[in-house]
Amino acid sequence: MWRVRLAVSSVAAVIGAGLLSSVQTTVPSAWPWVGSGALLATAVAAVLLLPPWWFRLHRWEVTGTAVYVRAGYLRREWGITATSHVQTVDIRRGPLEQRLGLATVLVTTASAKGELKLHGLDATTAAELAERLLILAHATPGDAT
Amino acid sequence: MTRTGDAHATDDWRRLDRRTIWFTAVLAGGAVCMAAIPLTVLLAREIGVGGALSWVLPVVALLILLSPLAGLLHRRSVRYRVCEEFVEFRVDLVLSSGRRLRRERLRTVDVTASPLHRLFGMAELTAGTGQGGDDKERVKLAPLPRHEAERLRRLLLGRPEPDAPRTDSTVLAAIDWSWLRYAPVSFAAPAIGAALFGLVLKLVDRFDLEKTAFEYVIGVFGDGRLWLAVPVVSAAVLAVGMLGSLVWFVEQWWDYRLEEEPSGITLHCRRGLFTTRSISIEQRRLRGVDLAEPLGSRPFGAARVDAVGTGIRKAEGDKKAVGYSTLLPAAPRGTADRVAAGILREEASPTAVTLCAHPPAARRKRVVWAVAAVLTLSLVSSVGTAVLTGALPHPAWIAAGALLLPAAVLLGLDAYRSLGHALTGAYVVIRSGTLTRHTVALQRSGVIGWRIRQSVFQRRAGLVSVTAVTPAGAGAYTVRDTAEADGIGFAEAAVPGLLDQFLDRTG
Repeated sequence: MWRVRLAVSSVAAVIGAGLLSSVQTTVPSAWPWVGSGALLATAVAAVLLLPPWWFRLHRWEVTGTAVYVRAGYLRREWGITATSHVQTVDIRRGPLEQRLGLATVLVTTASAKGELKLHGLDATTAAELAERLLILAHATPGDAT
Repeated sequence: MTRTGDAHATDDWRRLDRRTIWFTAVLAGGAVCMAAIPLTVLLAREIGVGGALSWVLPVVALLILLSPLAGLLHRRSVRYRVCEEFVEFRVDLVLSSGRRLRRERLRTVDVTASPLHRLFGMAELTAGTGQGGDDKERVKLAPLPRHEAERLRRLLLGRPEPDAPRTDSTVLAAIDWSWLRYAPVSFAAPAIGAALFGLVLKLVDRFDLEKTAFEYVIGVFGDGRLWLAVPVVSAAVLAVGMLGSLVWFVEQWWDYRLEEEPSGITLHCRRGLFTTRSISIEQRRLRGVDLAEPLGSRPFGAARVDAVGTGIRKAEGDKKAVGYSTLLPAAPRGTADRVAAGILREEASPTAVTLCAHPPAARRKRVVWAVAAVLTLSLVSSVGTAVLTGALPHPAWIAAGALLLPAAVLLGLDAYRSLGHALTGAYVVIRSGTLTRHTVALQRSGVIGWRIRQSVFQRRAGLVSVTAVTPAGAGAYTVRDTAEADGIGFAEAAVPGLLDQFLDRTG
């Protein structure tokens, strides 16, 4: 039984920073500096502190028989799918992801609701993973339902 | 039909039957007439009835004379064949198109015959591989002669000799007219009533009778008591809906019979008075059953049985229609359990087992959410009226809000009572829902993954929602708000070797 464990990076940091700073700039500058300053302080603190926390919560793992994903910070989510039932594996890269050399892997199964999203993977890791998942899926006979 | 024993006969392209021509002609002619009537009415307003008829009638007559041509064209353009490995059909009109489905992937074959079909001895056949009821994954052949449809149905679901006697099929359930008593309390009743009411309103509008209608209503109730009209009309609509639901039930379930075919690989459900429906489901595609108890008929101890399988069509169009997956209409709970057991070929139905209750925190959550919803709704509506009209909300609204509160609490409590889960034999059993309580028994082998979710509130209350992911039915069935250890233990025990390898991390 071979088993690989990998940790993930999280795009959340960059997205979070972008969102929060855009919020910050829309605040009218003439208005109480205190409010603005507080917002800036929170934003900086959030950008510095939240991503590592999110990063620690996002994990994924693939074994010979299953894919496992852990995601979400306020609403936590654990997802497990048997690799034998995987039907398609997509790789998606948004503009920001392309910039940072990241990718999202989408694993779909025969179920209408059973897709797993693996966010923020290294682009090459994502490609390798997709290939491996497909090999694993093909190793199982049947039509994956 | 006679050549099916021949190995090569299945390779031939077949055309639709001769009767198609006339069938399509009648269909097209009917459509022409349907289109002509409103056109005549419209024209009659401008140029008088006589003038309108003199324009419309010749056109209609010409189109009707031409309609057999349409039938001929339809017959000439459609071809189909059933081969060893796949079933294929082609339409060559101006452009050709075709569709080819692998036979081993076919899950369901349905034969439907509307009154018009039956007049011509025809039927419509739909074969699906059923990837979520997608249109691309279905072959629809219409119209076919009845015996041909039946032959194809048997052939496609892998029954080599179509002429085998049907006498030894096991009847799992047949219509019992005492079930009719559950029809008026189903959700169909208010829906049918509202639909008919809408139709009446539309007719009133079409013929410019609004003023007369309003005057009539005012005349009946008098100026001061006009508010009485609301409950009276609602009650009338509901009563009509109940009558309608009876008629609906009779039409849908006339001559209902659910049987396991002698080959033991397909379930066959036949029903319908005017439109006959024949639904076949390959039994190995069945992953479980869903025992549904709608709020209306639950107090009377009724339950419906739906199939949970891969590739079973959902109700088409509106949700009110009885779905193709429904195998038993609302019937006494005992009967439903017995039929469910029969469908799953078990001694006792897994849906009848005692379920583990969920922790009290789940009850608190439900009641709090229900009350919060009512409070928000009444707050928003009263603030809204206050802002818009500048007046304080009418006392009647406050009374209504006060009435809604206990109802919300009751619903919340009921929702909690519905929650439950269990493992039994080869099945996981999951129950939830208050408007319609679903007890789903799913084969463990049908579970291909799990989702475990926990919101902030749930984390503080020590609850999790565990979802079984499956290719069948709705795709995912959730054990809502169970205790953390319970839920994870449930998922771990249900499908050994899937979750446990990751457990050191989830803890």
